[in-house]
Amino acid sequence: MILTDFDYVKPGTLGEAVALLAAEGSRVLAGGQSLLVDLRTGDGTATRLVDIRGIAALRGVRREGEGRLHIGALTTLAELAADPLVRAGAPALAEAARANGDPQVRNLGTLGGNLAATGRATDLPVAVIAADATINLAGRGGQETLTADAYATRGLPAGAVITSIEVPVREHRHHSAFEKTADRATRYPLCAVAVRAAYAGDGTAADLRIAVTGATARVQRLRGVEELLLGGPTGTGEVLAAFRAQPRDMFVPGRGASAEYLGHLAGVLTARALARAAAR
Amino acid sequence: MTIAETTSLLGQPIDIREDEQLLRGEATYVADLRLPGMAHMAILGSEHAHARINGIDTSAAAAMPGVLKVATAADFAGVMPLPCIWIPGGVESHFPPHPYGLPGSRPVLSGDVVRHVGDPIAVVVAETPKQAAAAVKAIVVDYEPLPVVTRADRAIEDGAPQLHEAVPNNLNAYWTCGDKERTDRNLAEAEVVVELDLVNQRTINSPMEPRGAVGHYDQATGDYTLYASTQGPHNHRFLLAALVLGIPFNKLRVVAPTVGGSFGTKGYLYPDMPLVLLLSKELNRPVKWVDTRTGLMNSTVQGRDHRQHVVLGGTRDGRITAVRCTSYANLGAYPSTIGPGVATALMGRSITGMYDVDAAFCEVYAAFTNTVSLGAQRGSGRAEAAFLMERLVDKYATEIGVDPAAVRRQNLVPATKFPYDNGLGWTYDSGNYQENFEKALEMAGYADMAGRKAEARGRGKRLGVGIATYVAICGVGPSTRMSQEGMLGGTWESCNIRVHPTGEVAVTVGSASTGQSHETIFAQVAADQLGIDPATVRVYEADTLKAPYGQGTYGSRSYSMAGPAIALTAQKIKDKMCRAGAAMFKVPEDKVVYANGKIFAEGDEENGKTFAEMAMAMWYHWYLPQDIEPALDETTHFDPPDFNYPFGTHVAVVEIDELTGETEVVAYTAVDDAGNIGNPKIVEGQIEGSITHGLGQVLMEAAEYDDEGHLITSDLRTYALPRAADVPFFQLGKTVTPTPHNPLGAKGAGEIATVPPAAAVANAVVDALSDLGVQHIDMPITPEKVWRALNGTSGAAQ
Repeated sequence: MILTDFDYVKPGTLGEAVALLAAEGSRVLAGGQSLLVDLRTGDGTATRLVDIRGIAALRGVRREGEGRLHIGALTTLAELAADPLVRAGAPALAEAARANGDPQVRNLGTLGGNLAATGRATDLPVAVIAADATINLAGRGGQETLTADAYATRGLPAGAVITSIEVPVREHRHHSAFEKTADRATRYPLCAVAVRAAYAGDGTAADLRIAVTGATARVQRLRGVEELLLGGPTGTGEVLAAFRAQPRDMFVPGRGASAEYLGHLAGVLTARALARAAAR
Repeated sequence: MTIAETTSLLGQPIDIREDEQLLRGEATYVADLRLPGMAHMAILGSEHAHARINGIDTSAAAAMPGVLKVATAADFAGVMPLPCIWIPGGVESHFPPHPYGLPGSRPVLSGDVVRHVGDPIAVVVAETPKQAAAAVKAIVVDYEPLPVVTRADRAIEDGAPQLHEAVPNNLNAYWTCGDKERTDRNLAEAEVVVELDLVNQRTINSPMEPRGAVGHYDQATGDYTLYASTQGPHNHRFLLAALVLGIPFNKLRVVAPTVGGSFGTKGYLYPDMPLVLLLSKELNRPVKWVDTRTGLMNSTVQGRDHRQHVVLGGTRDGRITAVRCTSYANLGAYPSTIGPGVATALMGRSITGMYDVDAAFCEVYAAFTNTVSLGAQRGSGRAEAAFLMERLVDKYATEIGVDPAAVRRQNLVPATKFPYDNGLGWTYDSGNYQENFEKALEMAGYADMAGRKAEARGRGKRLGVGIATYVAICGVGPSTRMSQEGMLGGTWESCNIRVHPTGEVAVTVGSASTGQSHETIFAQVAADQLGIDPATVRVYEADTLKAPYGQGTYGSRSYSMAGPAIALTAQKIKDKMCRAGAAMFKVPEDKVVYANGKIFAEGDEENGKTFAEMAMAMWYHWYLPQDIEPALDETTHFDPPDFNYPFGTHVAVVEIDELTGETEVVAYTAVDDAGNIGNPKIVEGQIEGSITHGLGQVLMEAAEYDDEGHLITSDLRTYALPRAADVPFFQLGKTVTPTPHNPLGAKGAGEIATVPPAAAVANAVVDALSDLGVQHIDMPITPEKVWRALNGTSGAAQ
């Protein structure tokens, strides 16, 4: 495949980038791990690439006040996977970053790019949704924040640049984990699940967030499963039963796997993620 | 003369000299070539798998920026269709026509009818690749769709869509081997009979480098040069000049730059090769074409694709008495250059593998369908044979309640029986199957599997172990013998050694590497035989202007075909040096010693000459007898007395996740016997790549066509290939049984380990599920198929 022609600009500030992106056909270039592939295959188009990698404000991981982590959108997947603050405070996010592609992809691919690549099932969105993170955006209307649940239901507004995310650091009672079965060809998730759970003294689930991608039409929070499990045990049997109780059309076939299998797989991965989270 | 025993370089794992430039990305491939004035070609392939073409409108494309030429079939009316040169041997066969009365294949561009998606219809040549690609999209084709057939067994049924006028019922050939009567009688009398219906699914050859071609016509001399990713430059020269273009052989030169893998795809004639040459002549500019990944998947030969019904008969106590295979082989839309031979002889004659079976019979229906042409894929034919035999042996063992290892042990060809006629057409040269088999089982820890199964069960995993053995015909080969197999050509190999005045050496062979480290190993053979430093030896190949005639790289042949040619040529060099030495030292020839690259009179090593001194002396040719010609420049053409037959035993251990059905290969032991090995580092690399290739077929690879004949898996996002992380650490061992058929005692190695992994893993998976009554799961063994087998649901398991 031959890359189509496009202009290339590399602004130094966020303001310049947002102004450049206002033009039709402009796309954000960060790690390029999805965008450049799409431009080659014809699955995406662009007349101008706005390379945001020169914008220092989009980098870095730091503690933000009490119990929050601020993670810049240009943080690479390799940095996320290795960062001690992320690993301690939001282990599912670090695990999801580590589960991406291969070392070359992780060295170039970014947090923001992974969250913005909505055309395909990527690894980080489930971790961000399960962690109840907020997503900071810059757009023509200025700065904006998006809750994880709004991101899960509505996706990203057009023309916005992800600048960072804010992750609630795991409080003492919150535990998270990420599980994935990769598609053999692409290594994108055939199914991936992230969970965040808190347990009562008797081991029953007191608080629960479960997000899934790959097995469903788009990344989503599984409120129906959460409701069935809340207040009870979360062993494999209970989790698989909760998945079986979901509407039949919740899971969709794809990549050679049936909806029936993918629904089952999502249940198994959720059970495993919950078991690991509980053990943390 | 006396050739003294010297320390052998052969068998040493010396460093691979090609690796650095390959790993740094510095090697020059076809895609890297830039000739002055070069224009770029793009090909329009058919959107339909089968259609009549009622018209083509090229006017919009011709008017696009940078476009130099738009051509369709009408522009090449005088060009002959491509020929097919390996046909099913000894039987009636039907092919599209060729004006010389040879079996034909396909035209350079299809005019009236297209027969597979991607069938080339038109080409554009433009100033840039981008302009050519854009203009191709502007060509308007008026298709009238015709009915489509994509399966060989359906293609030969009454009423199936017909692809070629000259091929009734799409049947290229009905081919058989073995003793039908005796096989049927043994089966009728057998105490136990087991049967399987197998799909050896089509796979896509996926070398890192897709194919490419640059044509350069020199108007001043009338010479054509083709730069192409080819594994057989001499063959391409002959076939293109004589049988396609109809130009003097002297007018065509073929050069292969670095070739980035082949696995059996780059020895074929493809339409792009004549097209770039013809268009270069017409435009008086070099013309370049480089394929894309999706283009490759819709144009370059694909592998495997047999549907089989297989039967094994035996006694209650484990003696196999008969094996029978009926196979429907899918040749694709057109016979590829050697496809029909691959689908028949290589598979059929190999079905009994390492076993001494009283009677065997194989019949193959080779048929054309609306799919990409079939060709070789690493291990071709032999892998399909090993799969059916090793699956049958396991089912038989289960049926009679005997350990699969014990059944195999009981039926191996005894070491005393070589040469062994397998009754299907092959005569195995040499072997010690018992030693090889027991070594593999011991290395794999086969005796301790019960404990490992119990331990895995405690972790929610089902552990299974599978054995697969094989014999893989290699070293193609004896030319007369190959003619009996339907090969329309010679299959010998060659070498020229030229000793420079400085004592450095140029080794030139007719073969052509596609990634098998020829420069390293051929320098190693020459240096070993001549007793010199391999660093002083350069290896040249892959340019028809410079290299002696040879047939190229295929069928794991280069080390056991070009290697002996090098050894025999080195012997000629040494003989000549010794004759000159006798004159110089004034002793009889039988008193001259050649040892470690030194030549001296017996008992007088001190006054001897070094290799370099002799080279200089021969260059000057002063005071040497008239009957000793100047210089050292010798050539050998080697045609072996018969094939060679490497063999081996592989043991796979898998763990199956009881909840998800995922199969992980947790241990893999391979003990292969390739005779004497020249460079173990190269061979180990080939073995590891080969096993990975085989694991790909059994676990994830499958070319899938929909009912309209569109390839659904037409890129690497939809066609899964194994990655390093998918495979375990391979435990490699070897046994060494030299072949008597060449002076190095070397057997083929490059593809042999691709033959058994699919069977070993399939056997391991079925073993892990045996208590559930699972008897077979079709490849690729996906997690969902295993999950369904675990739950006893749906038709995934038989």
